[in-house]
Amino acid sequence: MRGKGLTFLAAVTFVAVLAGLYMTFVYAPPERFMGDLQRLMYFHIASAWAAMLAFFVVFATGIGYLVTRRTAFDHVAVASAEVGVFFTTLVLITGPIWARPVWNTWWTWDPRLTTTLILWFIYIAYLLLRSSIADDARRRVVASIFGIIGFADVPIVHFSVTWWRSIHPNLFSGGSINMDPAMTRALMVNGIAFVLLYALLTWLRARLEAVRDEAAALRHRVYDMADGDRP
Amino acid sequence: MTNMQFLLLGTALVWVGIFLYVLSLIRRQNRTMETLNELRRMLEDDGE
Repeated sequence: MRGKGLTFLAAVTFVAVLAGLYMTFVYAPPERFMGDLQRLMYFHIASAWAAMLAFFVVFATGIGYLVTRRTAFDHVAVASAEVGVFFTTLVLITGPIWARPVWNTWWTWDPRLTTTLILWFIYIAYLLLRSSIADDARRRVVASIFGIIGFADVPIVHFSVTWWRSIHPNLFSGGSINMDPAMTRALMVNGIAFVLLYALLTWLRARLEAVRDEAAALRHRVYDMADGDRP
Repeated sequence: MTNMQFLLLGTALVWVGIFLYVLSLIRRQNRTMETLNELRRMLEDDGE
């Protein structure tokens, strides 16, 4: 059942990604002033959405683990954090490439950019923290608490363009998206494709974490039995 | 190189990278499953 679900998700993601690429490079019109470079936006924003979702899942599974102590929550949390860091890296790479010709600089300490960079550091620290604690139970608890606290930066990133003076464009203002309808459609298709890709990567990574955990537990039992056999 | 060519090249690189990551996850999964089955066999043999 699980295998079928994964195959189905992989197939749907593949179709969505192809549709996203078509919408980006063929369907969406070039922007009047920025030309084709503006097409980066579809990947930039879609990656940001997927990253925000990923860190929300780390937050939610952190709470789930602390409440229930079920390791499945922790497997999803570490998988989601890794995939979230990947998407945030994409955001931080595509942003400066887009900014250079538009703002005439690769990087500026704008509130949105700075808080996004901090977000990236937080989840890099989350992964480093996990790898630095040997005891399984302690690592899971500490990581869950870190994941819950770290999520506080996500709403700050989102509202940074309205709370402070920012040169970063605000896509949603006045309750609607300020874009050509064809561009909005292309963005939505890419958004769906990236969220599906997030789900697929997280699923694959989480199931790997689950079998690794199981293998580690069995290895301990084998060692214990070998120790017991010794005179 | 035009902006469009640059974008297509960058996009292709990223998607190839994602594809390789997925392949590596599947390979690691299969290897860990083999180890897991081997450990289960060892435990069963010891239990007899």
